[in-house]
Amino acid sequence: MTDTTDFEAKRDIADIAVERYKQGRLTRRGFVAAMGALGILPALNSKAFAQANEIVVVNWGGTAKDVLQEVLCDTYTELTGIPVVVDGSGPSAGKIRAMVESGAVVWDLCDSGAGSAIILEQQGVTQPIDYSIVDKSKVLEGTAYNNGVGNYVYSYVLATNPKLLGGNVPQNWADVWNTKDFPGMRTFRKSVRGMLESATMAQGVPLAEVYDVLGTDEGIKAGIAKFRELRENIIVWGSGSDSQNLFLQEEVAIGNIWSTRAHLLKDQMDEGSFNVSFNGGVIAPGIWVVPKDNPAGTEEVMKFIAHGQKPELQVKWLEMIGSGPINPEAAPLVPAELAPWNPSSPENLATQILYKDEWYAKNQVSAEEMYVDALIN
Amino acid sequence: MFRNSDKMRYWALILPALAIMVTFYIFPVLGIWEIAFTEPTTGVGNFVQMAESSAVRTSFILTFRVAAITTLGCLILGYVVAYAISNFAGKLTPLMLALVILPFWVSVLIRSFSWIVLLGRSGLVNDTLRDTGLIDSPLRLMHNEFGVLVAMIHVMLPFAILPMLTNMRGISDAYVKAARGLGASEWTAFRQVYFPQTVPGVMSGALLVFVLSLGFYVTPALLGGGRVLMISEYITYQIQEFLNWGLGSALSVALLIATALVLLIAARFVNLRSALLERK
Amino acid sequence: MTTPILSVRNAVKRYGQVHALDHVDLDVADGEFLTLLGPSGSGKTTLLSAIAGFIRPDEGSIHLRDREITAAPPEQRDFGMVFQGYALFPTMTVRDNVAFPLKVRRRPAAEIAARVTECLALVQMEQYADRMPQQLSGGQQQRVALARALSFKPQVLLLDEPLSALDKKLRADLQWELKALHDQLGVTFIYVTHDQDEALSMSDRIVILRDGKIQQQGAPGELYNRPRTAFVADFLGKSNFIDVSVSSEADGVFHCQAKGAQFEVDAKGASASQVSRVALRPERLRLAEPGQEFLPATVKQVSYLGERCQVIVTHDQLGELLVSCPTWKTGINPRAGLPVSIGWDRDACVPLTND
Repeated sequence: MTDTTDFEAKRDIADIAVERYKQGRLTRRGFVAAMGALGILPALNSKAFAQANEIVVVNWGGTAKDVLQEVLCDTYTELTGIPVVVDGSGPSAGKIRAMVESGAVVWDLCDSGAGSAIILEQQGVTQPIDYSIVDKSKVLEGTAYNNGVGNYVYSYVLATNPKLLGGNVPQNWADVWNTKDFPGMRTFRKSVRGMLESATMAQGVPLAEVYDVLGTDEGIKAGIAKFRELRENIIVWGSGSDSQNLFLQEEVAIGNIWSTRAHLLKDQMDEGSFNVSFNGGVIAPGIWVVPKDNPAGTEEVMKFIAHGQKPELQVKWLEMIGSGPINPEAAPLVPAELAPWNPSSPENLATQILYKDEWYAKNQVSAEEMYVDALIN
Repeated sequence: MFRNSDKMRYWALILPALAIMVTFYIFPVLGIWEIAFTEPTTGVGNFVQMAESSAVRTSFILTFRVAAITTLGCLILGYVVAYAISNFAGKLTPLMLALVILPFWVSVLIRSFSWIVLLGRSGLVNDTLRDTGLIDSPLRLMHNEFGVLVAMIHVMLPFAILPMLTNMRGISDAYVKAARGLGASEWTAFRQVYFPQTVPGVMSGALLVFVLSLGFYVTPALLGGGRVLMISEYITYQIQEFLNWGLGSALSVALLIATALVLLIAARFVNLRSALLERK
Repeated sequence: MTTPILSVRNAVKRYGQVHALDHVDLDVADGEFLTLLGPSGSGKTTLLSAIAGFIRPDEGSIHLRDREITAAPPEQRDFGMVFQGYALFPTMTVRDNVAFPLKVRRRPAAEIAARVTECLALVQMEQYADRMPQQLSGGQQQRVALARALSFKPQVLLLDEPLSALDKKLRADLQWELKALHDQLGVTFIYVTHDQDEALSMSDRIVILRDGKIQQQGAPGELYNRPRTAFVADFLGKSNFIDVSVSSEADGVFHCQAKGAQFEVDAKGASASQVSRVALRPERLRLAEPGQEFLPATVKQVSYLGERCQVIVTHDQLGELLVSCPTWKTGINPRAGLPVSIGWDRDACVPLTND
């Protein structure tokens, strides 16, 4: 099984934090901490120096590291007195496995993806989540795995520029494929992730059946064919910032982009020139995994995960960098003006499907190949 | 004895450069070859997959087409510039030369971004055209092959101009004068006497631009809108997006071989030695 | 002179403040070997370029027989040209180089082939027809350049310092050949050089230029023996100059006063009022035992040249004088510090007018 974790998406969240920091919405505190970390982190890599009662959380770096530090870790330290340090070096499945197999585990908790979580579990290098401490009901359905549990969500959403479209805004994916009534350029990701789902819905397939349809070769081919049909109107985005720029420069009026980028765009675009619909969106979770033999011990890490499930902290995440709460209970606490942009609000959840890593593990490589071919050939 | 120590001296002189090439180029390239034949399984599986993929084929054709058109564009524009500088710039030659080299001081990334500013839907070109009433709705100047070609020609132009300029500056104006004095019109003198002497410069400019264009990544990636997928971008795509090192490496190997073939074919028609090493 | 084949009238060419050509008038006779001689910057090359059509004079006109060609492009003037450094086209064989003027004139292929062979034979280069110019020696390239210039039977051949890149011996040989070729073909040659030996040995007429003006023109012997100005006297061969005042004139003879000397000078058509200087060729001075000639002097330095011997002598008032005498004929054995006497014939002195 291939690792289907979307590393790009994770790196993108780090990028978004950078932008937030530039806008003055993150504190300088994280920067100072990072300077210190430069001296501390090499020591952390040696087992002898790892302090027993300190938790090391690993994510994908950049300034997303600082958000994690500020929102979850520092608050945990305040409550318990236990120091929590964020390491932004990127916990890829390969690295986690290498670390566990070498017996020199220095990481306690890793921000991974569903695909990696499943593989790592099969390889036996992660610990089961202790659901007596971590509350299964406080994560979205389908994001509680044996050896992994959801920590935040982001969505593939339908973003539009009503001003550019003259107020005539596509309401669903079928509209997006209707170039006659909705002329202009569209943007889709340079990968089938979250894209093939929209092409399938554009054929009128109901939400619940999307992955069933895509489970067949004909379903995939039909989705790919939709892209071939639309390609003259497609500009492809490679990175999250690409998608952001395409909207900012008015190169496109319609697109399937990450909700985290949409969260930035809503502040950057003029009033009335940016809109997002979660109708037909694909929601994807980030997943916590705990390496075997982690230095801080199982219980301490589980307590930390449970701490992170607190609705008020989850809302803070959303406010700061647009990743949505994994805990459905957080939804009512989201400020009214942010609610429409929250991927996991009940209203938005109702119109989305959950990203299915199992499908990607099985079909992604061949689908990507066909996708590229459809776009260029 | 004397010869031997002389040889040793030459080797000692090139040793540092050679060591860097071997360590940071030859070894990694060999590594790429190894990966191409061993990941995920040993054999030629990656190459079979590549040969069967119509996307790869399309990408290769596209790459060669873009490289060829870029080369042609650079040669035509560059020839005129080089000709004007070497024959008419006079005292301004150093300034002109500096202007040709100036773009090297700005990274390819930034130059390519500048084209986005110019060619975008609400970029300078479209806005100007719209303001002057020449067009009603914006033209699609980028996120297509046109945009890639414009920017590629811009980025590659100095690589075409410099060898041609070096070549032309070595051609005495006596030849054209002689031709005219002997009865040739300006055009005939250019075509029969001047141009043949610039062929080595043209060939070395063409090879340089073509080979560089084959492996070009930044500009097509930025201006192609994802649909002008040249091989190098396709390689990045395989490796970054799918972590498919095997196929990505196989594509690199194929590109390397294709480039080598271009040089071999070129060698049949032109004297590479004089095209690349001698400028006169 | 019968109708000139080429005439330049009042040609002026200015580069900023500098006059490269300063009101030049020149007539070239049909079949003449005319040499434009002058130091660099004298305007000789500018004049040739104006005749060839590479530059256009600011004022004045140029005629080829009755046809005005002042503004005609070079290719419409039908001159053969031989360039400094030959300018053989490096991408063409010797044969193609020679054929070039014929090809651009769209002559039939058979005629071209025949004419190329003929011209290469003329300069003894037949066996090199298929070589590239780079494979030839300097002298061989020179011959090919000549063949190329003559291939279309031009009426006038322009030669711009064609021998300057060759070594001395080869240059001397080619001077004979050029002259012979000129006499054989009867083509008008206009030849530019800064080398007085070339000019003297080949020309029918030499035109000496200085600062864009024609200083003097005439047959080599005439110019050598009767330079009108100190510049010409000095540029064409060597001269001693003596400042004089003409005290009286009788029967075409000036009685001249110089510092510490009096002597007679043939007037040679000069008017006494304009003459304040005379030129004296070193070879016309005689060197003798003290008292035998009319001026006492002392040998300062001797330079032995094989066939000749150059001697610098000093005279108390006139200063240094250069004497050139044949080594086989000298009566004395000059050495530094030796007292001698010097003298010359009346016709040896040339009265000069002010420049």
